Amino acid sequence: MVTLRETISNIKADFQRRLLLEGKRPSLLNKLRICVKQGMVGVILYRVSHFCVYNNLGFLTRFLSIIELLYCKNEVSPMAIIGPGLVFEGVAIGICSSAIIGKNCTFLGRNTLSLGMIEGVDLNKDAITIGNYCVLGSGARVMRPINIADGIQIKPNSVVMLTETKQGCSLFGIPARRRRIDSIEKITQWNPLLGIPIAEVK
Amino acid sequence: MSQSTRQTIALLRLDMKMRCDYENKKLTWLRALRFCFLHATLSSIIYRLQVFFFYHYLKPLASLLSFINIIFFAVKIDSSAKIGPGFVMLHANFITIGANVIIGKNCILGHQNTICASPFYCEENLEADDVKTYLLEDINANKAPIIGDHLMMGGGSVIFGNITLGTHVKVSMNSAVDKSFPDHAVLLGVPARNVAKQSDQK
Repeated sequence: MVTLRETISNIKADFQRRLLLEGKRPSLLNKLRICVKQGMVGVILYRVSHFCVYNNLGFLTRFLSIIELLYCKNEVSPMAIIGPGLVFEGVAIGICSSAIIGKNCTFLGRNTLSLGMIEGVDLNKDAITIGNYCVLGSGARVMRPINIADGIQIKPNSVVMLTETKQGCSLFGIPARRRRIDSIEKITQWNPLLGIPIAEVK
Repeated sequence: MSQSTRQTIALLRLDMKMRCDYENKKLTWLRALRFCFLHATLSSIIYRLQVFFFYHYLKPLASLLSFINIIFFAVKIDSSAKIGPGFVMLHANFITIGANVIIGKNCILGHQNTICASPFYCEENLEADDVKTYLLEDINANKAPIIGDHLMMGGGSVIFGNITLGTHVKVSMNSAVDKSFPDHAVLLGVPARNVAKQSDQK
């Protein structure tokens, strides 16, 4: 069950993170400026349609998805569960209904998270789970039921076919292979921007 | 680098001439008129005008033109990117060129290309003691790629990070380039490697 208050607080967190990402002050004019951008519109439409699906207003998502497709070229399923602080940097992002994504993740455009193309997947059970502070580069794809740890960086144009990842590495290649980043393991605090380790910004 | 009126007209003419050279045709007035209604050339014309207004104290108009480019063609080119004469986009959709990118003359882009500074956390950019002082300004100051003349990019390919590419570089379809390469390189794969023969590299 998704309440209205939860939806509004999530949208506020998205605005805050986007403003931090672009290095602007959180004034009303800057918020209006950001509101027009394709990525932000995509995030807001996802939040609203996610609220509608769980409150018996499912018919509204038809119209919202048309606006989403025309304006931001996204196809984000309203059934997907995404935490606060989501940023869509580019366009053409497809997220399937069985995705569970943590807080403060970044999608840089042309991403696909899907399970439909693979045999032997039970769509009711399996899920794509992505942790907090992850970054998906432009063109990065995830095509298997997977459990991605916190702070993983998936580099551009890589296709992830693993089933599990440890903390403290980046994924690159087709199929994606692990590359260690040792200093990430030691760091306990994360910057909400781009999954970069620093002191937490409130 | 400012861009005067005469320079803008020359750049527009050279862009059209490069496009005609690609199609093995001569540049005539009729063909130039036709290019104003072809979506690929139209978006490059809009980009040149955007840069012209950006350097002549008309930033609202520049942001309006970039907004038109984003909405109609999903082409997002930053005003601070420096692109030489003869800039051709074969299919203008989902192209992103980030801030402070430098590209030489006569470059040809396909569709769904991305050229940007690295959005990821990499160890090269900071030393061990610097972790706490690595703030947002430093991420924005990440150095963007510098690319020589006669670049050819296939569809879906990505160039990112603090790298330099030589002249006459060809990037194959759906590859991701994250290292520096010399002149006459042919890049293929994720991550990209040079597959040019020794005899060709002259």
